[in-house]
Amino acid sequence: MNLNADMIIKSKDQLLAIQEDYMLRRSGYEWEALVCSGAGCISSQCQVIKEALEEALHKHELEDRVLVKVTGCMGACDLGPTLIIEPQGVLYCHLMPEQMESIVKGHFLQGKTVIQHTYSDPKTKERVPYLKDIPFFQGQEKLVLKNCGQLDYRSLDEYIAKGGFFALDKALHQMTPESVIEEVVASGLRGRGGGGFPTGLKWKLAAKKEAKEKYIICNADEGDPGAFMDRSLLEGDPFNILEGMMIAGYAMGAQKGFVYVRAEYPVAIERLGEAIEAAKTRGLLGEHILGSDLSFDVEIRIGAGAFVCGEETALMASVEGKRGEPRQKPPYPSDSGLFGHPTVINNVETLGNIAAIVQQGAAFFTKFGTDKSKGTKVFALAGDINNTGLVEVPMGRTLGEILFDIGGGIPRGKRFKVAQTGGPSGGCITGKNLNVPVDYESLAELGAIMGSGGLICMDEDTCMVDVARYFMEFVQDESCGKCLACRVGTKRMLEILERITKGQGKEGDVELLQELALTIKDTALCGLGQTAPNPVLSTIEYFREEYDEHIRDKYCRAGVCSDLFVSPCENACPAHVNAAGYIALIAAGRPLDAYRLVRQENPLPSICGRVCTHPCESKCRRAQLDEPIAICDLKRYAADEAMKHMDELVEPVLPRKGYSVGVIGGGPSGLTCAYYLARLGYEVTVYESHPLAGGVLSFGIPEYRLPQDVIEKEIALIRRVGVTILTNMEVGKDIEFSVLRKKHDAIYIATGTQHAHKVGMLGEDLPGVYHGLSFLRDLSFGKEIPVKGIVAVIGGGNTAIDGARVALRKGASEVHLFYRRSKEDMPADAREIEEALEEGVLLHELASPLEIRGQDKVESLVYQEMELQGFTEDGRRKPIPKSSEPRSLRVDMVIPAVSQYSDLPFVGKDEVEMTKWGTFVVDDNSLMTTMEGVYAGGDVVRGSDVVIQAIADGKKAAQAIDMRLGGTGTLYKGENIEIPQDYDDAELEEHDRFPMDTLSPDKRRTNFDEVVQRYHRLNAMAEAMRCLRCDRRL
Amino acid sequence: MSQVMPSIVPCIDDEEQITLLETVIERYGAKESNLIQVLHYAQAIFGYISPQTQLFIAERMDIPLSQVSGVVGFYSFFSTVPKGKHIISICLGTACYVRGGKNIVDKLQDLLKISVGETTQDRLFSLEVKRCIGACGLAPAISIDGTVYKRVNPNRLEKILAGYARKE
Amino acid sequence: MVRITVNNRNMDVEEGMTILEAARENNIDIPHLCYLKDVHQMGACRVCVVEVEGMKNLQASCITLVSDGMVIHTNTARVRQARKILYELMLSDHPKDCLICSRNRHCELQELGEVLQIGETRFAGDRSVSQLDDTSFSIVRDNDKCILCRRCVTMCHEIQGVGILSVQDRGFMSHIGAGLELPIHLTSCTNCGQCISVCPVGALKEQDATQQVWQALLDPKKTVVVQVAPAVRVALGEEFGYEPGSNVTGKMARSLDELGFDYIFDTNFAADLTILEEGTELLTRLVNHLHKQGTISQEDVSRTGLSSMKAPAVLPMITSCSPGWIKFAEHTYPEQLPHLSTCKSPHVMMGALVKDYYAKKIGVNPEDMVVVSIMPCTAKKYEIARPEMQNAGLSNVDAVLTTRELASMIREGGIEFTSLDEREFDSPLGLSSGAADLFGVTGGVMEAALRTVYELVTGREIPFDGLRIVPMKGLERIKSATLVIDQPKEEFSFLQGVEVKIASTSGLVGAATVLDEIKEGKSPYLFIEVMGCPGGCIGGGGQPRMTTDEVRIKRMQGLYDEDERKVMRKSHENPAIVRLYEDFLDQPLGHVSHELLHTSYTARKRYLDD
Repeated sequence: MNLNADMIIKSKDQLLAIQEDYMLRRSGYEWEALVCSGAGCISSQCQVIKEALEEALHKHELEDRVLVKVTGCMGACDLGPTLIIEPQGVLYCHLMPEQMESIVKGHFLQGKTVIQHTYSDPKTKERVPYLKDIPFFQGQEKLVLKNCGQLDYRSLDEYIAKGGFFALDKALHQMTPESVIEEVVASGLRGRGGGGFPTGLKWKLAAKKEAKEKYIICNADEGDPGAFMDRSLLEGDPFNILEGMMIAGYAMGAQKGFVYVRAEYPVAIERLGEAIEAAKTRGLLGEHILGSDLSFDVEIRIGAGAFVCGEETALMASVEGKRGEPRQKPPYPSDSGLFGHPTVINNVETLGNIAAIVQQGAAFFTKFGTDKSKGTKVFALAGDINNTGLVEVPMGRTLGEILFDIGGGIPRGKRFKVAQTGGPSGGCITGKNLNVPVDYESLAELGAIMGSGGLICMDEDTCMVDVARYFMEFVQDESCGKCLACRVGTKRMLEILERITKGQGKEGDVELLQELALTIKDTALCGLGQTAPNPVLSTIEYFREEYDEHIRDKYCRAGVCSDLFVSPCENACPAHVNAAGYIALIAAGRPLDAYRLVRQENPLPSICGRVCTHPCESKCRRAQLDEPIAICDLKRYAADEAMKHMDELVEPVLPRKGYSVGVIGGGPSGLTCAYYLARLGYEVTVYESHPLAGGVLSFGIPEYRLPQDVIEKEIALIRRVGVTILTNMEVGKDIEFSVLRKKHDAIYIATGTQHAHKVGMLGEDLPGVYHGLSFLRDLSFGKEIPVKGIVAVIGGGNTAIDGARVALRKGASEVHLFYRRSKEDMPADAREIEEALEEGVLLHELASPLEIRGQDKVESLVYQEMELQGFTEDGRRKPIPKSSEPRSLRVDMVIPAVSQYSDLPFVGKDEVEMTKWGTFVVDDNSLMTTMEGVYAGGDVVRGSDVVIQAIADGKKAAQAIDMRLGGTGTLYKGENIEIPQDYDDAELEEHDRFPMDTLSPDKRRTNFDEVVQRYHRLNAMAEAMRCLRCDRRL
Repeated sequence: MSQVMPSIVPCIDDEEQITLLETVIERYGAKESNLIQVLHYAQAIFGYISPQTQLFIAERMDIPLSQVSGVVGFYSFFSTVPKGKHIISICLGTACYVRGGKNIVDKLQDLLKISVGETTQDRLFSLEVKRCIGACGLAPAISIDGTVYKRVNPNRLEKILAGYARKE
Repeated sequence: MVRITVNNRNMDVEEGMTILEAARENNIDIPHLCYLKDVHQMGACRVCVVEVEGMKNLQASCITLVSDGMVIHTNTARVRQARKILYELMLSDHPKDCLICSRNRHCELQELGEVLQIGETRFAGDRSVSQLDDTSFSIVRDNDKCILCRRCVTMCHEIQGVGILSVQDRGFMSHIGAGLELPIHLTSCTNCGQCISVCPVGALKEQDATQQVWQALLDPKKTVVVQVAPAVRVALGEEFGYEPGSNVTGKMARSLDELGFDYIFDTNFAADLTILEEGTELLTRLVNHLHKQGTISQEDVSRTGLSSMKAPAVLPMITSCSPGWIKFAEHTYPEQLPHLSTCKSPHVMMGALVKDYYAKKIGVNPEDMVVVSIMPCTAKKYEIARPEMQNAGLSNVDAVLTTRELASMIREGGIEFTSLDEREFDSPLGLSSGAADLFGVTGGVMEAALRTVYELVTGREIPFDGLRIVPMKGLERIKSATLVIDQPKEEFSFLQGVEVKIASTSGLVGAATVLDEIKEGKSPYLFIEVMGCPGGCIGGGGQPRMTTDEVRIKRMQGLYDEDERKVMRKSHENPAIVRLYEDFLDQPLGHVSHELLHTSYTARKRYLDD
């Protein structure tokens, strides 16, 4: 029984008595069970959990031993509903009511942690039962949020027991208003609502002003999308905010406070209202508070849905019952504010710091933070991040630490793109600045702002033009309409952005946006308008190329602006193969048509079905549901089916045009260019130096991944449209380049990269060192390379994996793969990596080779173990050497596979412009080199890149050459293939990918048989039916 | 001169509700500074703030109608049209937006055959877009009558709606 | 005084001034649009932005106060660029059909464009669309043209206190409206037209009557009689380049002749008539009131000769010549209507006389007569449509033209106003006293009435220098004075020593104040003059734009000068009036007067009462 429930509190002694009484009552319990009742957990039905918990406790007669408390938000919103049991500090999460029985029995009766309901680390998949061990909580420092999730927000007694209202008492009886203000000034506390104005100074200005009436307003109109810290504070620790307001009132001489809360926060309004009532009942609000002369009253004002009311003059207009339109400052609120009286407006989080500062002194507070930004800041982590929720960190933590250590990084292995702070008034922080300490100044320098603490993480699938459009839509919608600059200016900006995202952008639009943005910033009446263009300016500054792509190429790299593409997969494909289309054809049982459809954009479906890096799959929307569609595998299925019916694959060709084109290099890029030109009616000759066409496909990819006959069949189809392929014909040796220039009307150079880059380490010239690409090529051309003993492969790309697996097949006893970063950062295809490991390749991640040692042959590899620290631009950790001594592994052979380069002996270096990496300088749009009529594409221009990119270049070159020779630049793709449009949403059920048949590791480790065997027709069709058909337009 | 007669009948039917609103106005006092709070109550009482209600408040609080209407129109929280029995609010705060909130809007419009801001013919559902409902951690989120549905998958919306339709 | 620097020039200016005012005072003009001196400073259009050293953003000079040491630049590249973009933005949401706009060549937006010399509009996009509201008898609202400067809102709320127009919705959807998208005829709009008089563009204008008048003038069967209100003659000249306050009565009368009006009368004549009717009414009310109170006996009443007059015993009595004010009272203070004088407004009295007395006199069928009033007022357009303003089934007045409309007809008629010779009004309904001229200014009716009433009661001239009741002069919102009656005529001996308190007010905020006093039973006044528009009719909603206080004072002076110029300065001395009573009316408040010249009022609801 609480004896003090009705006691009017008028002195510190009474506070102490309540504290003592509460502790006494509390000590009767053995455990505390804290049920999180934050907004997130409410939506996850925490009420039911609490009832089930109480029921189970009742059943086992534990009610007197376990104190159940309903608390505010603990911060880990996506773990809800959650339950913390003290004193052990165990966190149970993702709870269901039916689990409570077993938790009660296990934890309280048997004294054992019920491990299966504790937190599971998403990376290690291991259970982490104790709160203190969970990374999300480890990095935090809770000053403002200390009570949130810890105390029962309804209990005034518990608040007092935890030290509540002692700060107020101290201020009232031991401090003058001036000394309270001095303390706050000394603490360096700055406004947490976004502006960062020194709080003490604000109070001082209002305190100085002589007036009969003064007001303090607590601004809880938390309007920034993504921010919800104010809400959590009001819901989880309402008395603390009231105490902060009362201290502020005492300091500045105000007797009345308003809390302006958004109507969207009904729970906060309710809990705050209850807290005010409780404080009134107990005499903590009203007259002669704690026996002093202070009279103070608090009233709640409910906002009604207007973002601009976060601006203080607009907020005051709203409190006055008017349209929330801002007005000119000065006069500042501290001179003439609410109803014309001096007024201080503080954000919730700011007020949340006051009691602690007054109680523990400024020095306590200044321990935290940076030089100019003291204390902590609460952030709301949201967006593309694993641990969403509320976190409180000392000012000065780096963005990377907040996002990746506490936030747990980006889900689904996506790359970090940008963080957005400050909502619609804020800006972008790109990967370049992940290591910048977060405080007011540093963020402002980056063109972002601290804002109220919304921190939204966006991954690579975010279109920055669309983000700018979104924010502009937001502010345009929220513009009050009073001043022209914002009312019409934001509307026009939005219209331009909408145009761009719809593919109707015009050259000059970006400049127009900038011009408008600067004027709006410069002339708008209030803070909302003046900052409204920030997201646009910020995205233009950091992502100008995305704007240009939208405007010039009608291309949205992130696959968001759906007017610019057929489907996200098609958009992600450099060659723009209509994946959704051929998948629909497969589902309809028309694999041949599927193959034909692929060939409209890519003449090498069978090859790509085996070796493509399938960027399409990384954008597949199905991944949001379960797993992405096996787009690449389905292409292979269609190709496999088509190869059975090669005779039916007749492809029409346009009449001869009378021009001839020479293609140097018979790799994927050259073949593609040749194929499309031939179909347009050009006479095309391909010059290939090797005995086999196919380039790197033939010699760089092992048979077990891409059998030679597959390549040959597809090349045969290219010959069939009239392409002449001359093998063993090396330009510069067998035929002079100048001859070709005379003979052909245009030339496309696609000779790729044939030479492996040296790693540049000691011992690289020792016998037993074989560079990756040479190793694969020499073997494929039949050269005998003795492979035995222990082989070390250096690198993380596909060539390294291929090298490792081939070495294994060629008789190595052990294959060790060295990679300086971690496994998840390896650029090689994940499936290839897994297969290699299955076959027995030993991976050394975070191991950076330093030197190859040996007398007259390779004897050992010395490497340095690495650790991760700081962040690279895309959010990956930076590997840095550990302080430990280098280690050494005894090896017999080393295969460095880091990168390749090209060499062009047939073109004079002075005849054509080259980059410093020895690649051609080409025009972005036409791929023409600086030599008239000579085009280049693929790896010879880009350096080592993927097959599908080489194919895309071949197409692009074909279009440019056609235009040069008088055509329209439109490729001839034969007859239109009708794509089935029927689709039934209702059939959608979660289902993982349908697998392809593969050889078991045992059956494949020692031979070159193709590892991935085939798709069964039924599995292929079923897999195709998983497609969400994003290409459909309603 | 064209004569435009608006379809406003200057009376409110339900006496109980009017009495309630009168009590609210009395309790707050007919001061301009209380207008927004009175409007909140009016919306709570009637479900929306009809032209009649606005007239009533303007007269009772002695505030010009144009001002009452100007305040109602300024704040997105106030609705001047009746709402469906269940109110579906789709959050389009940044977090929800980047996590596919737009797809949810499309899907719901499609399923309910209404646009945002409208109510279905059977008056069962109203569809609205909210700025941020503070459930960013659970994006994308929608709320139906205040119950938040987190991590909503567009393809599961039909099932969620069916649950509400069944209760009828 | 503070020292500021504008464009590298030091200047000492009054503290509390805005940058814009300070610069203008020193002959530096800063382009601006929404700002309107004395009326509206809100910083909505942002066109007047300037660079202030030490401030991050540009500052709107119309709302930024000067401070000591401020360094201001009004014409930097940054400022010019901002202005240019803002103007382009403004135009992007404005119909650019200037050639067919009523404000063509009289438009502030257009003028600004000329100043800024903008050569392009690069921001095509959505435009605000709205429905034309032409349901009011007086005011037409074309929101498509509105630039949301909000001057009208300020006028309607702060100056007139009626609050019909407010900003509705928000952001790009913002528009000015009466609420609930009501057409304004369904609100308690007083039709005062003050909103029109400050509108910088063609979004607010009067309901056009020129076409109707042209039609009548061109109809050979019609006898078209025109009359002109006093305030028109000191403002019409502004439309033709004269200084405000210039008296153009003679040219005006000539122009009306040129336009083809058959008889050109002066509303001033009816003003004199009003004074006799209203003065008598005041005395009658006073006497009845004293009798009702028991202060005087029935015998006393009989002796005054007023016992046969019909007038309620309700005091104070309030003037009734301003139709905007009348409508305001009907909507807002319906229970106070008995305080209003029953006199029709002067031009309606004139109309009634023309169609009855004068029609008979010249032998024209009243049905073939068209009475046109040239008025400084838009509310008059509503007034003439009221059913009370009819006799024998005919409207007393058929059309009201504002001063602006008359000017446009003169222009359309190809009349070179400035070179016209002068002309007198036609008699007999063209003769008037100086007192009648004062009807055009606030306090003027009071002054005119007192000149007559005091003489009726005492037999002596009112004891003021040059008959000027100085406390009634000027632009203050409420003016009051006390008059002690000394040595009245015998029949009014009971009034000896009585202190009579009088007041006059213009602008409806003032009207509300005096009516609230009456409502609370605290009004000390016997007689109150109320004019709907600030400054009285010279500041009417139908007058040439823009009416600032400076302009008001000049126009006022024009009428005072006219009064003082005249030999005959008291209404009851007007021989034409005397003859009218002898020939036709018999006596003030008599039977004929009651029929033709007096009216009654209707209690109205605030809204939805057409």
